[in-house]
Amino acid sequence: MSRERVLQFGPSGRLIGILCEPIDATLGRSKPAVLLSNVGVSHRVGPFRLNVHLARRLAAQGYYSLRFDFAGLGDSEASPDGGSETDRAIAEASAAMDLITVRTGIDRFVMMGLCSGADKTHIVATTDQRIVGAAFIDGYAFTTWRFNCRRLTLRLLELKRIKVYIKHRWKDLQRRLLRLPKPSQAYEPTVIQPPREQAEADLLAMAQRGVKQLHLYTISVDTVYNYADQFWHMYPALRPHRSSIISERYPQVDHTLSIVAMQKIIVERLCTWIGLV
Amino acid sequence: MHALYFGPSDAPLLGLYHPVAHARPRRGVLLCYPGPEEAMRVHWAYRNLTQLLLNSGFHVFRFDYYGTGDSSGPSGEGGLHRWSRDIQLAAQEFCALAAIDVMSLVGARLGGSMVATVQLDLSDVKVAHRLLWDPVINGADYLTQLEALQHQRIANSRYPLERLLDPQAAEALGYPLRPLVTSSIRQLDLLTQPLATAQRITVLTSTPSANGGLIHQLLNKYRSIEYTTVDEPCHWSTQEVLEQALLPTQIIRRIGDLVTQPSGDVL
Repeated sequence: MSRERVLQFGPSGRLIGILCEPIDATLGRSKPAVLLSNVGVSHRVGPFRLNVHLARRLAAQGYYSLRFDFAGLGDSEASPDGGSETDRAIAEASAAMDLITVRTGIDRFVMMGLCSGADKTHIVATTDQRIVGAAFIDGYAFTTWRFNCRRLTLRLLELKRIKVYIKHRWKDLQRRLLRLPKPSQAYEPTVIQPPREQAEADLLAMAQRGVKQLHLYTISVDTVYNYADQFWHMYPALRPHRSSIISERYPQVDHTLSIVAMQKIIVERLCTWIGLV
Repeated sequence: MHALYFGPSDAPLLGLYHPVAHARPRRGVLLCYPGPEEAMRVHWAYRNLTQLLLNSGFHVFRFDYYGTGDSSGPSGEGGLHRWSRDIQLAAQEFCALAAIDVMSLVGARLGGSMVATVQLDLSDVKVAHRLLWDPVINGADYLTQLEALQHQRIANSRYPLERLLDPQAAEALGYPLRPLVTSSIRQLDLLTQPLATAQRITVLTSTPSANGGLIHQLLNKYRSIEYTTVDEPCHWSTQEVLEQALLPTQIIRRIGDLVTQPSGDVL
């Protein structure tokens, strides 16, 4: 059970967020609060209301959460301030945490993000000492030699993949022949990730600070991540911290969790994991 | 902008009220989202439309229906009857907040269908204009289209999704489809249902139109409906873009023009 309040915060109240409170507020204050935010240009509810389901489920477990829009996304106004997107993300997430602390007294936080939300989670968790847990869904990924071997093998052997490839090429051909417009009007966020060494150093610093981490990878990123243990091959320096870092691959789940069952799998996993933080 | 929860305390709805400082006469536009399957796609377009209307001196109110967005209720619940009641609640809240004299309603897809039919009892406030953007004319056709898109999604998946899907629970495009919702959508037929009163009703279609034949039947039946088409695609039924934000520019400009420019006595 939960209770939700809409809050406007940050400079001139230009950021908007929904504070989801557990019915047992006293219990909630002993736990870290959870930050949820945008996925690509989707507003704070997330794809298929993922963040809403997650927030309400977390509230049922006694956790406070704030799902909010970074400046310029969703319903939050754009920031007139200059500075880099990274600096603004840090400042805005910090404002969100300050707000929760003022309202609840909680000063420990877990941040969860999917896709570009995972990138922001990385940035914030790297710099803000109040973050004690970070969950990344389709966060940064770097290919390895084993990835390349597997990719080549799969391409040669997987019949369904070949069928889908042929189907897509056929559709492209039809579109060209019929002169149909290419569905290119939609915005695709560009993935900009730091060099592998930097990402590894950041995650290592988080682990050394005691930040619990959950890294989930879906089938949709199998162009860069295609086997369960790839995480540990990408980031060998993190291996001594296996007790506080979990990495899992979900071949049955796609990037936007486009089937209800996928949403349930991910929400369930996040809600189980947070008990470890 | 003023964000708030409104409506019944046991099932509050999220509303976003965008006031303007000097609106004379006090004019407002209530934006109604499509059904849950398409609401996510138009959120950014509605934000842009809001800004355009604000710049023209109109107050704007937009909100999430029960079981959608940040409003209460689980996904898959609600239905056209309940969402139409939500529109009534939102209109009343809007009037209370903005003290407007004249209201226009704009809705895309199922939102447009509800804008066409929802009766509003707003005492002193005149409903000047109802604008339907690619409205769903026939609910059964819409459900058939959703079903076809869902089949395509399953067929195109690289993972055998049949293993994940619950055969007892219908869903479409990432949202559960509960019987109450589907039955309410199936009953929708703008060709037989009475349209609500307004000084002006406009149908705007993108190109190619999702249901051109039915639109023309509607226009033949109601000669007073204004019709406009914009040469900009929305791809409501193109599998590849269903999860991507819709960013139309010409359509938003045209809606802004239609709502803000005078036509008739009131606006």
